[in-house]
Amino acid sequence: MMEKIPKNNIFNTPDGYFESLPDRILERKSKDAKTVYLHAVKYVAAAAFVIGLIYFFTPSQSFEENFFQSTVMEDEIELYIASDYWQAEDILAFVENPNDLLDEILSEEWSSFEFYEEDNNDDLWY
Amino acid sequence: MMSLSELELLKMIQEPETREKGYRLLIDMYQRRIYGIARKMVLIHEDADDITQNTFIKAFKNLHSFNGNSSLFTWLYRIATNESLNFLQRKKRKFLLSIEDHEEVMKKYVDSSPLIDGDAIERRLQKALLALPEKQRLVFNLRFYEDLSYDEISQITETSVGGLKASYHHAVKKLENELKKE
Repeated sequence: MMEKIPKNNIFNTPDGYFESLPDRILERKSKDAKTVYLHAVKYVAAAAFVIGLIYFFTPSQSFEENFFQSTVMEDEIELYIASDYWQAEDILAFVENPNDLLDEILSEEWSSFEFYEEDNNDDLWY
Repeated sequence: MMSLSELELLKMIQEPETREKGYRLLIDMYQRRIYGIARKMVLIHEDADDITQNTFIKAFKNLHSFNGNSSLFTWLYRIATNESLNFLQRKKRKFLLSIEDHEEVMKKYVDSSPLIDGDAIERRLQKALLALPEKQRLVFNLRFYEDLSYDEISQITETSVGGLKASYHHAVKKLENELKKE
């Protein structure tokens, strides 16, 4: 019986759908990359900035004192970032080698991306 | 095994100067087939559009981990079918909280959507397919509509050929029984 049923494609698409799809996908890819990039930059750059400040201004302090100050300053800087008082670009401006830092962030970010993060279900397949 | 054109495509994507062009060619080559299988599974154009976009975005992010043991097409299809099945699982979970039955809603959609054509028997088959478990429906779609071999389907679904043949055979039986009614 199945052999008598036509195998036509009965699913239509809006006019111009496939013509515009590549542009939409590539635009979205570009936006997604920027979003990941900027979020990662904010926090890693903040950490580098804090550590740099501590060692620049208080070289004679003990390690414990430095660590305590570093933690307090880090909290304060995270507040600045979370409230959008500082943007990623502001923080990068404080860092000596922003390009090196950004390269490091990108390589960490892409290497840790989970493929099929939802595909750990053992009974997914028949 | 990858075809020569797939190898050339991957080389284009590896080189920064030709990467964008490579991505575009990849989409051009496979977008209709990826969309096709997604649409057959989820039926609604907007949902199939999301799945198609997600498939290519995930593929671009993970091309570095593509080992070439299967063809690029098979690899893409695997992403698309996983995305489709995950989407359907999430959608059905949402429907658990609703008074509406998902299968009944989709049957009405087959009859009423302006983006679905087909004669009476083709629509009846689509509605009968909705009663099958998703994985079985996927196997049926890949075999009946996409005309893939069992070996290809096995690579996509990572299921044995024997299991696939049994699944398809049962699907056909159920569908024929349903279509014979009335």
